[in-house]
Amino acid sequence: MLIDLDTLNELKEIMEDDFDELISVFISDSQTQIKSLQEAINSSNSEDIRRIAHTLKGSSANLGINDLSESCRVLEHKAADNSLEDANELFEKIKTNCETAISALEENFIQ
Amino acid sequence: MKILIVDDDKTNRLVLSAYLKKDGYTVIAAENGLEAIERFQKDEPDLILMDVMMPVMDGYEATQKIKTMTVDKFIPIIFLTAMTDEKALSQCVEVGGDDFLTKPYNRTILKAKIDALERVSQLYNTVFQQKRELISHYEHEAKEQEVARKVFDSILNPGCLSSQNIQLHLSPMSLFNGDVVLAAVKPTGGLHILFGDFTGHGLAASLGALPLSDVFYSMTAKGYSISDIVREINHKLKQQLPTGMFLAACLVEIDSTNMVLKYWNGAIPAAFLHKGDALVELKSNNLPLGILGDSSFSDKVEIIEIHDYDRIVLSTDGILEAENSEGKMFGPERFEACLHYDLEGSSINNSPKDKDVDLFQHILNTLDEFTQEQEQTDDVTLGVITCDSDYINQLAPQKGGYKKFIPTHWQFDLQFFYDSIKAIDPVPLINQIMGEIQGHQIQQDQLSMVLTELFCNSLDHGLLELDSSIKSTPEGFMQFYSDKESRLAELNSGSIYISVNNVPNDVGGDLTIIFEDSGKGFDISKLEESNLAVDEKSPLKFSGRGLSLVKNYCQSVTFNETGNRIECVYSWSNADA
Repeated sequence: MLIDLDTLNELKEIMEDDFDELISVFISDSQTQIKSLQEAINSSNSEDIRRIAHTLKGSSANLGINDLSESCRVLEHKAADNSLEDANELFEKIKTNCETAISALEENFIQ
Repeated sequence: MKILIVDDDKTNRLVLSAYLKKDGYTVIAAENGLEAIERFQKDEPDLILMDVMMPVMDGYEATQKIKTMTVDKFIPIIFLTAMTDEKALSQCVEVGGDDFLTKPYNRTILKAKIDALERVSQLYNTVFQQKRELISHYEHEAKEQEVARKVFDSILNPGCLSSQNIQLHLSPMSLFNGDVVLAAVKPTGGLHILFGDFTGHGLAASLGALPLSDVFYSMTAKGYSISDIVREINHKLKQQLPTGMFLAACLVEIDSTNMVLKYWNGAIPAAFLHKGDALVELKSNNLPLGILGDSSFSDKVEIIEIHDYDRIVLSTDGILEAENSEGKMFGPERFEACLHYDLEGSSINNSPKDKDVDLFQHILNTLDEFTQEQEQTDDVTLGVITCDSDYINQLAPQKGGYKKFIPTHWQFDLQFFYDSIKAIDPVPLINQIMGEIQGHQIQQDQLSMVLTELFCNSLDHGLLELDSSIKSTPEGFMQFYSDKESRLAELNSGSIYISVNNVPNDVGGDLTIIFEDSGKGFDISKLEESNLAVDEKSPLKFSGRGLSLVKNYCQSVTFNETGNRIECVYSWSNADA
């Protein structure tokens, strides 16, 4: 599963009206972060890569988007170790994970 | 309970805030460390959830700053972090973090951690609150004691404690240990000293000092003996102090004219007379003051012959009970060993005597060495009084403020029968009557000596038929006093008649004083011989019926033919003028 629907349903139940905001904030924020991440990788700015991967890791984990969170965790660590050989490869994976997650969110939670 | 969420990621804030609101908490949020500090100051949250990596100011710095702002209040801070980096975790603890929470957030764990920290926080804040209360109580009490001390200082008569022959170690707060030291010059010359230790501590222990000093100074000024004074103090304290509160006390009279020490000791454990070559303990034979009723109370004083430069060492139990770091007490043995310091021929103290350190300083030094803490001496009250007769004789009795009197013409006659002689010392009474009539225009020191000498003459030789020539040897000296005591007790007849007449003149007045006893009298023709025999260098020069003191101070001294009536004229000039 790319996204954990149980987690999301629990959140929806708890957050009630705020849940819609959470989803839309995640979608727009994650899209912004993917763009920033692309720029950071292009300029080989490992500090920016680490920070963005860290943030995306945390927010995706909260929403139960575990594949995306895991990919971000790997990139965050590589950036921290300054070993960015396969950064592009990882980025593509993150981008795909993110797009898939957004589609799933839109499909399941946006009326 | 108000919780501050600090996270730069909005989804995190939304999720956390939703969880917390669902559990009934009030939630506020900040996007970075700097904003967190601002929100913290403005909204005073009870707990903070803090992300680590944030722009502008990170979680470490913000936590450190907030913790330094909350020294007297516990604000728990939970770090929001991935539990993967040990270095990052230890840094969280270093800056003052209280717990961690990992993403993704688990609602149950979040609630449990907040609950646990809330309990800790309540505990801390209760302790802080109590600490604040304690500090405020302590400060309040210190302030009260300071005020009380000032009040006491202005009320309590300092007497002659600052005399050169009195060395005193007295904590400024000694009053609140219940320790009291009083000293006053007698109108007839000589010193009265009282070393007291009230039971208990604090203000309550010091309250008894007021009636105590009142009685001590007013009775001393009126010429009463220490046995009269100790009886009155006991009476007053018994009456005024609450049950269970009493005064351990040692009263000492240094009679620098006759060179005798009289003392009454009720439960003062460390009282000694240091005679240079011998140590005499001024033993306590009595219960503390304020316990016994008048009928069972004994005002019997002990008498010891003294010489110049003998020293009286007095201390309350603070010195004996001073503890060292091992909890051992200084104790009576160590105290007594201190006194062997400059005792001639003493084998107890082997340490070489330092000429610059006197006995008083030696005792304090030894105590400091023992306790290893300077502060210990705060509880110690120590006095060393040197019997320097020349110095003591020149000390002037205290005078108070009195209304104006003018010298007038008056006379009073008193007659004391044998039973009242046993109970009353007429000298203070006569002084008191004269004081009532003439105020304190008549300087009482000389006159009291004259009256005392006249009364002793009538009593010792007239009624008790004592032979004062035996006083020339130390054994006889003690014998004399012991004979006096037993004969006085056995006395069952006789009386002494006293008449005092004042004729005013320009500068004061002439007092005609008559003492007539019912005794057999003596051969007055022998008087002249014995007067010639007085040796000025003899310390016992006033023994015998020479009455040289009376002769020195009076214009005329005459006996009747039978020698049982003496009449003298004492001229006085207005002491107020």
